[in-house]
Amino acid sequence: MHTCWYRANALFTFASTVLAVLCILCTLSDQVHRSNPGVQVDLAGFDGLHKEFGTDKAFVVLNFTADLRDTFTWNTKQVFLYVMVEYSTSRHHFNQMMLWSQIIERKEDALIRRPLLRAEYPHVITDKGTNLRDMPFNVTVAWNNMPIVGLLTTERKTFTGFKFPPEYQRPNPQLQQQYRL
Amino acid sequence: MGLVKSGKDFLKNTKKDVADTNKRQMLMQVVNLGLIVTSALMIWKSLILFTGSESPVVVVLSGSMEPGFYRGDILFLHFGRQPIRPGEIVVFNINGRDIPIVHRAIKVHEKTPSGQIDILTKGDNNWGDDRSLYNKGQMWLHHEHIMGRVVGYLPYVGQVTIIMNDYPMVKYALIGILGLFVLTSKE
Repeated sequence: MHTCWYRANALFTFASTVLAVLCILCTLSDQVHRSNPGVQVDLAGFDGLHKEFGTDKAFVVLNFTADLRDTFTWNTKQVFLYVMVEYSTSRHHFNQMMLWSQIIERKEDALIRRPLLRAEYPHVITDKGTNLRDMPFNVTVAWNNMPIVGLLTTERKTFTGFKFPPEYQRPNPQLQQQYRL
Repeated sequence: MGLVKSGKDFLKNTKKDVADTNKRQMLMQVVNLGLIVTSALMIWKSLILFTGSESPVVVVLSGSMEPGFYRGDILFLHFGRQPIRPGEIVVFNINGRDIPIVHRAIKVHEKTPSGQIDILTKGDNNWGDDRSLYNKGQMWLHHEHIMGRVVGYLPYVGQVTIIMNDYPMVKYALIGILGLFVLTSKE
């Protein structure tokens, strides 16, 4: 009487076990994959450093290159690439914020050259006070590999030795011109 | 005469035996069902313990993280001891709302020396940040809002729970069938 149900049950159990094992093998294969993506960040300048409503707002412009074609595997659904600025003040020992981010869905789109990379809405570099003048900062580029199935992995590369302008300033005309070209 | 009598006795005894075994078997099946339920509960609770997250497995309910996560995908969470950093995908709960949200942290300020953390989030598929989702006047998320960070991903499987939530009859039917299975299975 139950044989039909039992067979269906056995078939379902077997199928889901096979699927689970395949998923695990898939994500394990990802862990073996080693990549060495080329990422380069230089400071191109500043579009300004303002004081707005009692907080500092910086407009950093970076010369950014990233070649993430290496990181794509057969289990990669998309790579979430983002650039962060971090600095430390006396009241907040850790401040880190995204400046720009992009979803990369295809390997062919994973070569990115942005000689004038600016903060894109809603990303903005703001402080909780007015500490940004002459403040040293780091730039971290990170890429979050989001899989078709399995574990998410994030790798990062940090570039140090940058500094915000010593005084509040308006946009640099030279840089603006460069932007228009 | 003697033969008939012993035959009657035999019949009586067998009937009693059958009744006894049936009772015992029924009891066994009930105990089995209880075991299944309690071990499921134990696995869930130990997952909570090991991941440090109050809900270690969640189902995506919205499209705000597309094309990374779709509605009906399953996410595995882990909290750990490290503070949240920008770029990590976190699950958070807004006070007074029962459905948690899965979005990415994009900005973090950590206070000296208390270590109190201010987090701003954004959905990968959303144009703006999440301040419009927070309560009125709330600018930041803090540690207590966060339920965990996403470490693993399994597509489609959560669709089952979405269907069961939308059509409760399906849920009851499924539980009934499974219960029947356990109670009637002979081992």
